[in-house]
Amino acid sequence: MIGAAFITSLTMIGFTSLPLEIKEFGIKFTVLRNISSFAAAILIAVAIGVLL
Amino acid sequence: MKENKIMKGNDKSKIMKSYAGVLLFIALFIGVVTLFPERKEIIVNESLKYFIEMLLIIPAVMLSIGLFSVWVSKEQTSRYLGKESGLKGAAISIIIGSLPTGPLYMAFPIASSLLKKGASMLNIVVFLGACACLKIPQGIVELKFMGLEFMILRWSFSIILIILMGYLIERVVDVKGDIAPNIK
Repeated sequence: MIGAAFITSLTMIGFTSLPLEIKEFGIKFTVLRNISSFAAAILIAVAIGVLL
Repeated sequence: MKENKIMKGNDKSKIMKSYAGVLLFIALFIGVVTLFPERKEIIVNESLKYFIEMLLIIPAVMLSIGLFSVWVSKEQTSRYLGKESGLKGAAISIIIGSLPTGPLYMAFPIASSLLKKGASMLNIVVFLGACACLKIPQGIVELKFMGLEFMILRWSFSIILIILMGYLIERVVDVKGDIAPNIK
């Protein structure tokens, strides 16, 4: 479960590439995408924890 | 493109801003090395590793973006990845995203060129998400360490949630108002 949360959030939330993302897509898109990625990571982790 | 912007702005604060990261890194490096001299080798090695990675990947990605913008027409992109493409478009985005195209920071220029060509917001978000967590090379390592069951579960949940994220962001973010100023 923790592994799933770790892998997903590790790869989906690009903290080091935030400035690049803001430059290409604007602040609103970046904030939304990163927050929803974080939520998705937690959801995936919970789902895998329940099922495995 | 970046250089043009700096030339157009033609003020020093903008140039300083684009080098702020480098200056910050140099300051951090000097600080850490004076405090912990034994760490110097690790820092230099890792920085060199990433620098070489960027040198190898960036030209290839820029070249493919250039070829993409010449060879693929706007109609084709909006037909396969546009607003009406539906689940087929999402599937195409996932397949493109899972191809080994390098790290996530290289996906942003690709995604922005796709958006310029008329791909829908949904497909952009799906592409970025797939690029981040559904990479085929990464999947092979995952299979080896975490097992098949884990991998199938994580991939299927990721696909569902990425598409949901795409729908959500497509409804909230307006391409013309929120993103267009950033795309030139």
